[in-house]
Amino acid sequence: MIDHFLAQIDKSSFKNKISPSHFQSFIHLPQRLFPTSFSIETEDYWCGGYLASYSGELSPKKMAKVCQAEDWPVFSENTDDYLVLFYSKPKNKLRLLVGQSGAFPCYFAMRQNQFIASTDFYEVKKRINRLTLNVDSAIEYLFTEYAGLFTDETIVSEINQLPSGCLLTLSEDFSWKVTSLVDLDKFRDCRPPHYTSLKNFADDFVTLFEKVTQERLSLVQNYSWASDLSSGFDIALVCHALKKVSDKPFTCFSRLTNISPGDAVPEVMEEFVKKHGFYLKTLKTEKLFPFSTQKGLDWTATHFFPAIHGLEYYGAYVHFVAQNGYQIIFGGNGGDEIYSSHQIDNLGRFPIQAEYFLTVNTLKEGLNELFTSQGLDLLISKDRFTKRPYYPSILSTSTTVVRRLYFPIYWEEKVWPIDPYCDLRLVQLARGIPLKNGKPPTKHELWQHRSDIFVPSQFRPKEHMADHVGQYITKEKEFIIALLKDSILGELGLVRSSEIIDNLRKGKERIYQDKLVVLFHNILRLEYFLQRNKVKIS
Amino acid sequence: MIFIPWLDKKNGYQTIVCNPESGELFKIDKVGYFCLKLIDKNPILDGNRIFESAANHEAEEFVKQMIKENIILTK
Repeated sequence: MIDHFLAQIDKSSFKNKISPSHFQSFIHLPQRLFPTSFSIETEDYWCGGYLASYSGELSPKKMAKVCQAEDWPVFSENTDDYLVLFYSKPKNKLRLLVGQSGAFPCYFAMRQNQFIASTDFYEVKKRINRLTLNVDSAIEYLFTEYAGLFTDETIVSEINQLPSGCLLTLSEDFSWKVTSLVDLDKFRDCRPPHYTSLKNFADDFVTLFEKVTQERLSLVQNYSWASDLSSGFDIALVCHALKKVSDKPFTCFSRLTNISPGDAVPEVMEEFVKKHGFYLKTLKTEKLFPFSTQKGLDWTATHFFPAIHGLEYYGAYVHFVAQNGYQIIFGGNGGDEIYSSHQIDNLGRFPIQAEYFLTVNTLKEGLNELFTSQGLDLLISKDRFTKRPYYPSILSTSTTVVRRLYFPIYWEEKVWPIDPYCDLRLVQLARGIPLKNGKPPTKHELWQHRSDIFVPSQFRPKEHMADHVGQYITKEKEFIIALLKDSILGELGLVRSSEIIDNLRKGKERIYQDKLVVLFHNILRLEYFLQRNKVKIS
Repeated sequence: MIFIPWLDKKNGYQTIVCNPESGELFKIDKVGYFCLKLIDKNPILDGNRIFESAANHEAEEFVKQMIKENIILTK
């Protein structure tokens, strides 16, 4: 039984003003090893939640003070992990905040005369009588997995989500509003030093990275911690920094598949751990791909999120880490994106336009094999882009969404991920990366002089994982066909369910592999959820 | 091209447009923005009408480039 944060507040109690001592009764705040929970109660307010302050800037008392003063700019450049609920009796307002690191998702809904909020989609969903498909948001999930622009909507109209780095305010009249805590303009106005030497940039980046890692490690050094590992550069830098600041050997975990190794080439990892004296534990994941396990399907039907193609193999991996007795896992999430931080000054000024053009340009990749013309029209509908609210993010949205989506798995396994790349000081430094013809250097170019960190075999072309992920198309073909026979998305006229079934029966699986493998997976994952939950089409 | 009024105003009416064939992005200044806005409101302008509507020579050159990059389509 997974135990999640849950708030259930009824309208009549709220309107009559709740005494802070009584407010606790509306909240379920399960105790966790890390991040630790807290609650503070005075005559005027109740403040509680979860907080891991790597920066040392925030504490439960400071959180309460800031929320009471409504001094929201305090959070604008903070990337600590937190979820905080603050109720003010004098103002009769409730505030719910989540940090911009993406560590905590938060889903909420209004059910009749009750406000419900939880870190788990399922906890909100099971308290709603009727679920209606939110077509616009469903299209967004299919295409971006919510890794594009932030949204406060979900695949069902009755449930909303609080984007990373945002504040939800529930007012006296029981209306709600979401606002951003992030001040992207202020961040952008701070001009970082511009580097002309790639070597100097790389070395300064490493120095700062070691500092950032040390801050994180200092908070968890009394817990059982380990690191992720692959054959890539990003996590290798994490391991190097951990070694430097902890000064003791530690264990690295990796997942292996011989189908298409991606960034987990065994020989490279062995060379790396041998050089640095790490221990390595690996989990074989060949048989773990989308829809390959009943546990994964059950999870999709109930929790829906993560709802991404790594659910099965990553879920098993986190379980493996937990089984080996670890509570904290350091990762390299954000490592790909950080070297494009200079875009904050360029395309970052036009986020909605850039997302729109990215969507339109992807039409050339054969989306018409999956979507009908009606579905494609909806995908590139200008209305969908012009009318949406905008929630800025300094960290790349594709970085924070990974944390948010995988949260339920980490929470269930009682393992907490820590990603040193999710630090605004690193983003600020990386804005000054020397560019060549407007483009950042490759990682090979960036790290070629750091033989103290990286091993020669790491300087190789990055391999893909599409074949491993794409196993589902052939191995779960009968499941796919049965699922698409009752396709809700097909009934809506958005997806070519009949043609897809026909192609699969004729042995034309190849159409849906390569560039369409993830998008096709998302359609099936959503379809399974919609059918199992009898989601209505409005 | 896509117009996001609140964001366009915030950016001082600078925006980006995209060549749908090559995928290349172009940054557009205020003059170009209002040219494109005019054409967006009058989609059936033919080539000559577009040039007549362009306020000055600079705008005419801009419109010519947008036609070349398939961002403006003419009859």
